[in-house]
Amino acid sequence: MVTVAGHKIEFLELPRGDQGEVRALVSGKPQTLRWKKDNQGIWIEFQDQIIGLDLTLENRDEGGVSFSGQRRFGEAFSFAGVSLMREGDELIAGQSSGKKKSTRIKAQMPGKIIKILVTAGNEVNSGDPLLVMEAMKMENEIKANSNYKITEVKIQVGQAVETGAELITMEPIT
Amino acid sequence: MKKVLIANRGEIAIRIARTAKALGFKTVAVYSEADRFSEHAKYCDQAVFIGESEPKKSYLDAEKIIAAAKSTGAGFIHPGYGFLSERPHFVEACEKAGIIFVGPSADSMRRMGDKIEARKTVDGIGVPRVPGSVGALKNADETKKFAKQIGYPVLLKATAGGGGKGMRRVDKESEIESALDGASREALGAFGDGAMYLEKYILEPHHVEIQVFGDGEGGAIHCGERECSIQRRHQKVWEESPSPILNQYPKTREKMCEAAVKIASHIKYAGAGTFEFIVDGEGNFYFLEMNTRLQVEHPVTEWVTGIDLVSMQLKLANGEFKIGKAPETRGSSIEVRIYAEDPQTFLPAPGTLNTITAPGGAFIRWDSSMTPGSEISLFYDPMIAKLSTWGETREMAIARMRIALDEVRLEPPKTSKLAQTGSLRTNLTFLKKLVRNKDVLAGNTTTDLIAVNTDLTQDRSSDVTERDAISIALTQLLLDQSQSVEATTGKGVSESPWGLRSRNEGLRSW
Repeated sequence: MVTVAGHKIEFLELPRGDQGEVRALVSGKPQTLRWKKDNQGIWIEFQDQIIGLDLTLENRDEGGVSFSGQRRFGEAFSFAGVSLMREGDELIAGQSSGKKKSTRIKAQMPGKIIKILVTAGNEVNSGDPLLVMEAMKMENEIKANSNYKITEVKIQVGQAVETGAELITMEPIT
Repeated sequence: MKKVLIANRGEIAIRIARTAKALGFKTVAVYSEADRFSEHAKYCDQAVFIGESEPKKSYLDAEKIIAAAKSTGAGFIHPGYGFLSERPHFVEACEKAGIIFVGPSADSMRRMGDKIEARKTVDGIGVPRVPGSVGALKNADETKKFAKQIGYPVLLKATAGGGGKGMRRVDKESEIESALDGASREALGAFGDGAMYLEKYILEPHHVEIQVFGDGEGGAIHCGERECSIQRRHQKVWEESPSPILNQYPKTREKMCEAAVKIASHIKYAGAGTFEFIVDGEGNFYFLEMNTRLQVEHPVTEWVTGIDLVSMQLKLANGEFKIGKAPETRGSSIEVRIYAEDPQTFLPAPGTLNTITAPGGAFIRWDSSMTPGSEISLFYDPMIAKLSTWGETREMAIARMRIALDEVRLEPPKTSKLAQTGSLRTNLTFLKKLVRNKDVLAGNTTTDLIAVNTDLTQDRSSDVTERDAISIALTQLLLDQSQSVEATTGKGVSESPWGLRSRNEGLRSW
């Protein structure tokens, strides 16, 4: 049994290959679904509708995975951070919640560091600028999205960074 | 044989080549290292490599482009927008080489392209403009003095600028120094010129521009307006014609068109040009600047007038154009710009596209040079496509836009586990929300629309339906299973999927 965005779903058999048919209990009611997977997501044939989703799997900072994606055709629909809750998940979450989780600011694109406005030990408030980075010929100010204590500054002024490079690590202040 | 070299790249190079081919021109593309095998280079009859990816060493190198025109025997050069399109020295270099530049004269460019010169010209004709400094600012002290005279908030702008680069809003005197510093450095990097000027920041403004076309001998017509108020990071993202604010103040429209034609005629402007104005909530208008080139958003004008602006440019350059009456406009058109950028912060996020599906149908236009596997390069503007629609009413144009955006698919490459590879993100989800926004639907198109409607830049994950949930759960199960098949090759799988899942889980760290 799995819960996605409040909907309880249980598959009664294992799907195989790139397409096929699978029986499931959806909110307790049996349904037979025909499906076809591709390299961007999935198509599912319901009794009166075919739905396609482009899906992206994301690793979450606090562990586990979630999906972002959107509908192919039809009404606009997009979502982010939809995770699956399985029976027993609460227990795992309960165990890890005592740990202080650090947040890493990463470069979202290649660029050059123009200014660094914080040092390790600084406390910053939501909206405070952390650094200025030049990319795509534009200066982009990177701001804190919550209150944090800076734990480490991993870059220097003038340094060129690649996508995904860690710039600053910090801890949330509660 | 008529042959035109297109000194540009991407969608605009293809758009120009399409019309050029229709008019019987042979077409020549130029391309940089990053653009080898890109669509515009493949599309033209001939293609010439002109150097490294960095614009300065290829698309901005006038000598290389003129050499390419000479070696292919091209008698015309169309500059598109950006790059060399507004550089008077390039126009002169073309003339010297005996090549016809498809655009205005170097003199027009100098008088209107440079914002400070333009203000002098406009003041002479008596067209109202936003209060501001006439010349380039010398230093922070002088800037503070001007700002105090005009009154805060003020806007710092690069004299050579455009596209929001080198631009800062300043609300109080203490912010002047850092704003001047940052904007000037940005302008220096982007345009090779860090000179700044200052303007009053108009509250509740609308950005409305008038398209003009001149014959170079003093004859000029207007081709209606475009409203481009909806901007993020001072860059346009939604453009439309007619303008919602001018529909409220038709007299203002008349006066603006009249002013634009007057200036174009006065400077004997040749070809397509655009006069940008700010219109406030009460219908007052102020001249901002002139763009002496074809605009990115020219398709909306083509939709409502039925004219092909590139065709007019090429005919004028070839001596086949006679100025007529201003075209009648019909219906309503909207264009959105699809960018490789974060849909919440609007920071550029270029990368490789795996899947790209263009919309289709009646009154839908798609201008793009992207195909599956294309890379949005970090060397250039991260625009993926321009999507424009037409309708007999604004409501119908918006409805078509909504449906067209729902047809668009843009996906990055992914692993077999559906994890994204590469850094691409797009503003598609943002645009889908924008086309449904109540202020957009009502025509309340002030330039702060995106800032005010904070829901446009927030995640929305509340409306996951049961069927979406099933699709997500089944996808996850398939992914888990492909993992377990890898892990247990040869063994029969007979237990319940979630039992298997939980067994796998125990082996993993999360």
